[in-house]
Amino acid sequence: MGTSSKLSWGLYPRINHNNVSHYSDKLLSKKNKDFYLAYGMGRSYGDVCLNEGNNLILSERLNKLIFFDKENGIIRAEAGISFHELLKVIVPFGYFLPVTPGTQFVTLGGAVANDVHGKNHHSAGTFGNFVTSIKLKRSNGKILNLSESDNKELFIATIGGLGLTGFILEVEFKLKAVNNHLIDVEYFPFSNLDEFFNISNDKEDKFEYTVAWLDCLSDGTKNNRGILICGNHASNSSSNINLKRGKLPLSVPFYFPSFVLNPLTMRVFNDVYFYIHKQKSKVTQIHYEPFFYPLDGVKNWNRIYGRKGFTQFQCVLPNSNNNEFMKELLKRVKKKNLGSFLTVLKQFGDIPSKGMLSFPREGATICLDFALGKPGVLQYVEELASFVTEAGGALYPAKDAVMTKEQFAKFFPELEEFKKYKDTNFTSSFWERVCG
Amino acid sequence: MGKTKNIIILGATSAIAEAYGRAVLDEETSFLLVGRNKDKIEKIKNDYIARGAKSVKDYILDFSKISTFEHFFDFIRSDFSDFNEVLFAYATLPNQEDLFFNSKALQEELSLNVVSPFIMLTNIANFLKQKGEGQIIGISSVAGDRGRKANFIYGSTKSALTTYLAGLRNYLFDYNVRVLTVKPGFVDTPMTDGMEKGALFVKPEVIAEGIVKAVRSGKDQVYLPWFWKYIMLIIKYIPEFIFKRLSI
Repeated sequence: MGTSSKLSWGLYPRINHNNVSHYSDKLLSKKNKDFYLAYGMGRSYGDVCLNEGNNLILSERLNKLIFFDKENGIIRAEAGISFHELLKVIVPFGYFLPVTPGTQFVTLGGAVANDVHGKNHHSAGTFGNFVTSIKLKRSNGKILNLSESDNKELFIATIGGLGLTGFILEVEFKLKAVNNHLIDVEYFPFSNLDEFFNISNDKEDKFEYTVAWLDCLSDGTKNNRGILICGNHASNSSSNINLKRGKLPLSVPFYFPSFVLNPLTMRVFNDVYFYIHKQKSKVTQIHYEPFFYPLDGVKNWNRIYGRKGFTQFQCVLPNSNNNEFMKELLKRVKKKNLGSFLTVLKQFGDIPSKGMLSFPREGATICLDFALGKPGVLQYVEELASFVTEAGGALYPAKDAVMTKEQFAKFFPELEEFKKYKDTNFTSSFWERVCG
Repeated sequence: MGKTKNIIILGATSAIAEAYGRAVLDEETSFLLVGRNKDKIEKIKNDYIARGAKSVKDYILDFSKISTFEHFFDFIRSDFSDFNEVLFAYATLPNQEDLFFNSKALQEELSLNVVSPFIMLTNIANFLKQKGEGQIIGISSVAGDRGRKANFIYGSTKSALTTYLAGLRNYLFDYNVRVLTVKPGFVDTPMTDGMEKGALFVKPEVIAEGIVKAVRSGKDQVYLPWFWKYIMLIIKYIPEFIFKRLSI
């Protein structure tokens, strides 16, 4: 497989690897001189999953479950298994992932390495908080068991460690008990950021999951309208449970991304979508897939931005000063009129992330897409990054294309501590860029 | 839920077999996993149990040691006699050039890919004949459709298997036992890791889903993915005097 090239989800940057091969027991051993990085499903956006000029080890064949304690809701699996596969197994037994990102096509290893977060950050924190044990293979061939009681520092370095502490072989974590596969959903429209923060603060106690869709395109005013989408796992277990069914009919218009991603229909769609939801804030019940993974129904949606790819920009900003930082950031985004088609806004809670390089922290997080087709886009993203730095926020390595060395060190104060546990023969294009 | 399935998987560590087991797995399905590598079998067993299979048994067997088959058949009689489906999935894909200089390896190849399956499946057929019902799924290959320069030794063993399975299907028809011949094209598995993997390669899960559908609809033979039917149709009809000049 020597020549096969691998990309990240943003299709940027395009780089060459020395060697790309499936994981095998022989791969990492004492006499290794090469540099490695694990590669799962390539769903991170920038270069955090790439390793230019070096080697990638594919984890996709490590997809077995090791055990599933159906009484206590604990599962252990090989690191290459996807969340999609895990959900297929656990939901029929009345369990759900404790934390999930916006796509189910991530591997378990990738979820640990990026310490992923989801719509329940305010109530649950990050995925790493639910990990009880990790089996890690170092580049010298040593296999280590990591947990709160075993190699604790390396355990904490590996959670959110961007795959740089070694190759994650197995992960054990706690599941969340649910009654069925359904989510009770409620929509709350807002017409500006102040309203968003008010509604969000109000709803967080009542809803396990919250996320806002923001219309960054609505013009004329400095206002940002949007919809706060809130959900809880449905409690009525009497509902007709059909676990084999992938998706419910389009009764709830939650497939908006397939339309949104067409720039020509976008403006119209944004208006219509917003209008419909403004009319009613009713309660509906939907399958977990369209609630958590609206974009997964559109295969390869990342290609819609063209061959040059795109960058996803996600930052967290402190809530201080009446949320002035977020308002200022959005003002800058609107002024440039560069998009973004799909803007997601959420308030992180105060549950600390375990990992030394974990991104989520208290504040408001926003996620914007920028197509890289036009010139000057990266420069503009760099400007936004500078603003985030001055505001005391942070950028998400899993979605980054512009972070500088200085910024990385500022965003992640435990960096020096992390370096002690990094495997010397594991690296990534991201690491070389921000720490090389 | 359908009726109880009790499946014997011969070559359970093969990537296609493992994926097939997952694809059919539910709380009504029991497995007997048969293979040589104890560690790998153990891992797959744990995986199937964790996924909620009704029961999973295993039997460690080296398919090249034909003299040990009788013990295995005894085990079936004593421990898994109520089976109603058999997936045949073992074979090796050798480097053909090596076989030109190694008659012993060539003989081993023929033994494992032809002699062993014939003996195994004939005995399995006897079991099912007596039951008067059941399903055999045999994994052959598109490589058996025509002898080609690059892999005619492997190809001809698969030719033999395809013909055997076709005959077995006809023979067992009277006994209400079905035989499905599966002809996969290029599959991205450890078996093919020596090859440059182009656009025609698919994941074993794709093949597994195709087998599930073919069994459900009672097919006799299936190319997987479907387009191989047409690729092989063309390849089979190229006249030999042209074909021998091509580097297919």
